[in-house]
Amino acid sequence: MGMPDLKIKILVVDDFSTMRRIVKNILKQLGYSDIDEAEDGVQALSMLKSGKYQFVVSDWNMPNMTGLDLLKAVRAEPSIKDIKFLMVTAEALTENVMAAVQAGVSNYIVKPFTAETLKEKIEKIF
Amino acid sequence: MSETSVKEGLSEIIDATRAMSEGDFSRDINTKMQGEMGELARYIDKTRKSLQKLDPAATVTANNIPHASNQLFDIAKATEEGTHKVLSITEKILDNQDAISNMVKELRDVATSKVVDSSAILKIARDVEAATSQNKDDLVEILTSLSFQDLTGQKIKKIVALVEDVETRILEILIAFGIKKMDEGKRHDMMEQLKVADPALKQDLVDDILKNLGM
Repeated sequence: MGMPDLKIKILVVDDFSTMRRIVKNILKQLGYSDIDEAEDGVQALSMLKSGKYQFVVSDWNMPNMTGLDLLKAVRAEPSIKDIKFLMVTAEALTENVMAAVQAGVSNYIVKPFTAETLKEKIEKIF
Repeated sequence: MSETSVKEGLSEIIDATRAMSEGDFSRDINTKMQGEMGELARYIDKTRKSLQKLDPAATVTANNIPHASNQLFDIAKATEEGTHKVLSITEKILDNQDAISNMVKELRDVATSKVVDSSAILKIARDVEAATSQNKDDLVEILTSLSFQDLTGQKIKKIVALVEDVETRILEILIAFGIKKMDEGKRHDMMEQLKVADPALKQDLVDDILKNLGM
């Protein structure tokens, strides 16, 4: 636990452009500057396979590939299976949280969230 | 056709139609009869089969409609509350901006006075720092507050899917009963134009319509 390296490369995944922009802005305020975006799991997975990212912040409900399926795909891919993965989602049901934990999620935030919550959760991950 | 077979034929049609009027679309009708009886039987059986297909689908769709109304109400409420929250924070920031402006004026006064009071300058510097720091926090809070758009947007997507489903069901019913659409001429054209119009152009279109109505 502690402050992660502010130079890490982060991927923000959400089908809502407004949400990607909000998360990116808050991460910038927290000191991170190397942040890319993806609008669904499929695009995210191909970007992650490049091996350049250390951290993924992803929504759950997305077309083409859900956040959960993206998580599972990442954990199943040897070259990127240890990427830190933060699920940020409106889905707050127990079974969702459990499914995410079982799939190997690093942490889980429920929308709407505050900048403080995001900061705390990130510090817990790294 | 013999009298008995006419009676039997009619009887079967009556039973099936009575069942349909009670929501039971499962009764087969003998469609092999000759003549007008046969035509009647075939038409009713065709309608029966269409309604049978519609029935379970329509029930599922109908069950989702009250849920959709609640969701729409929630969305209206969420966007209103979200907007108020952002407005409140914006008002706070604007007040702070005025305060900072005043501090800067004060700073100029102190700096241009005959005897420059360093401690006064330092105090003003601290006040400005505090005010700008507060504004920064408030601006970040605006960022997170705007996430209501994502939540309402997701709900809207689901309702759009439901509405498309309802449109499909209605179309199926129209087709099943062979109801034709009425042509509405100029009014229809104007409705179509309104749908695709740029919001800025809509006022012109509205004014045009009003003019046509003599206003």
